[in-house]
Amino acid sequence: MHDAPTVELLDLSKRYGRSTNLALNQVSLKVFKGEVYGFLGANGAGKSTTIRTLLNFIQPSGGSATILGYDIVAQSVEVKRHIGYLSGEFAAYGGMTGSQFLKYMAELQPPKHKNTQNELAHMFDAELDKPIIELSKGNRQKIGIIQAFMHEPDVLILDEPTSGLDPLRQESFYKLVRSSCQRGASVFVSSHNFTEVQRMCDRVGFIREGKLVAEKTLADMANQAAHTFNLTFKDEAPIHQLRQINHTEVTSIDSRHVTISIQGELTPLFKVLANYHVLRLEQQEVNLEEEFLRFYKGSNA
Amino acid sequence: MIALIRWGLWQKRWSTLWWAIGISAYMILVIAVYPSFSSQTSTLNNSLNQLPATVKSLISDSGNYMSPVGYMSSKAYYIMLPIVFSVLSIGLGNSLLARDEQDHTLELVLSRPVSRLKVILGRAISGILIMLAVMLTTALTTIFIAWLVGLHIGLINLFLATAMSARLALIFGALAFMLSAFGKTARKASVGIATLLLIAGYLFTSLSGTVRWLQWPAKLLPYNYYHPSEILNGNANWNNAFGMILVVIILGVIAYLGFRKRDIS
Repeated sequence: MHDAPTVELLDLSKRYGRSTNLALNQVSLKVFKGEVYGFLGANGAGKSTTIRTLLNFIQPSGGSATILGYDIVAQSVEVKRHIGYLSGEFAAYGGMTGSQFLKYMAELQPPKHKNTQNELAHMFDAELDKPIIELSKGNRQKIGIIQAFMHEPDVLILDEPTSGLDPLRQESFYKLVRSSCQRGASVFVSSHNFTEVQRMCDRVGFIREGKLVAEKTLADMANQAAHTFNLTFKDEAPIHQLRQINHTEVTSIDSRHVTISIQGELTPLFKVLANYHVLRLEQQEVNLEEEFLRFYKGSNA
Repeated sequence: MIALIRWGLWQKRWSTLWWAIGISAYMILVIAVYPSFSSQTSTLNNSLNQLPATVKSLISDSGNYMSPVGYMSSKAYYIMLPIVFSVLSIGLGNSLLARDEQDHTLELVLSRPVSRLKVILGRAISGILIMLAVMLTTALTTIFIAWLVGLHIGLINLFLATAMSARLALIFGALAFMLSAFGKTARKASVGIATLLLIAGYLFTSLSGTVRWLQWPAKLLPYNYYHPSEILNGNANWNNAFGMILVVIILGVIAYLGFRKRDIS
């Protein structure tokens, strides 16, 4: 089904200094061409450590990783010819303007197309003439996005990328990620933002205390997530019967209106409903937040 | 690497300018007032010669304080200029790599296809070029004012004395740079250690004439190999000069070895 992975981690581990705990404990995963892989976990779970190891900012204590077949340690410079990196706490030289900073970055890694930088600046309405130190966090993050995408990298490594962006620019960012994937780029993104993950990712990995505890496609998660229906009955709602269905949560709005969340198969619900006069049935949009939280908290470990 | 050097220089452009103006202004002041003293040379020399030998050795490496060479040595080249150049050099050595690391801007550079060797070379060359710019401005200003005032010291000797003073300072800067390349803990100690070696070198070398046991430790310190009066008299010791440059290169290599595979904080 898939080509060779663009990003591959094999038992990658990291121990800081003399710490007895591993910040990253034998993490193995693969990201494929054109895929957006979300990396989720609580603060200190090991997301940033993974990203910093992939970028060779820190050295792995064990295991290995490759990006486009290049070893992240031995061929770090070659790896970086193909990647774009963005940190959530994007830091640039305060004294430079956005234009000066991007010029510097372009000198270190020339863009494939001259216009890409201008197109991105236009897309995000970036303020390039002001000193970066005078920009708000969101406006600084726009410059961070431009520098990460302007050389059209094959692999994007993004750490909390939409931090500080307004909803409109977040939308532009999701589009940019999608279009990058369409041209064949792979995206490895760490995030706390469930909505963002739901919007962007094809697959997610959950990391807890340095270990990758689960990997799921978004489609699988949607199937496993609870489905919520708003029901309107002609007569009094059969709350008692509905509550008897396994894995359900029933909220009564009034005697005729009921909201029911059901996890798993829907057949038992429809068997009950078949005996009553249902005027209206509306399904709410699937919200994966609960599902994400279960992995965060560890109930699915 | 050209981009790394260019932008490194760009970041320090204003501080470099002000350092150059400040040190040059000091040299202008020192030389401009010399004619006022020169008419009282013998009186002042007699007074200074009555000072204890220990105190005299702390002022200058020349016995004749009011000769042009003795005056320039005591007022500028023996203490003031090496210390001021060293403050600049240690500051640069400590900040060139470490500030980028603290600000997390180093990560942006390292996320591009740039090797750590190029990063450290780029930073080191930026620092050397800044020192060179400040040294050249100071030397040329000194030569011009000395010529204007009619100071009887060879202009090339003045240039060399300024250059050797900056070269001495470069060692302390290279030491701070080397220590900061090893990471956060060493970086915190870098300014202190480099300054300690500068001050210890000055004191040990100055006092080793009167305090015998200081002669041996003084030989381990760079200041011992810096003799501005000799340079001003046209007797520069080129072995010392090349030896110090070699030390700077060795410190640079150690800096790279420390930085090559360490975790960026």
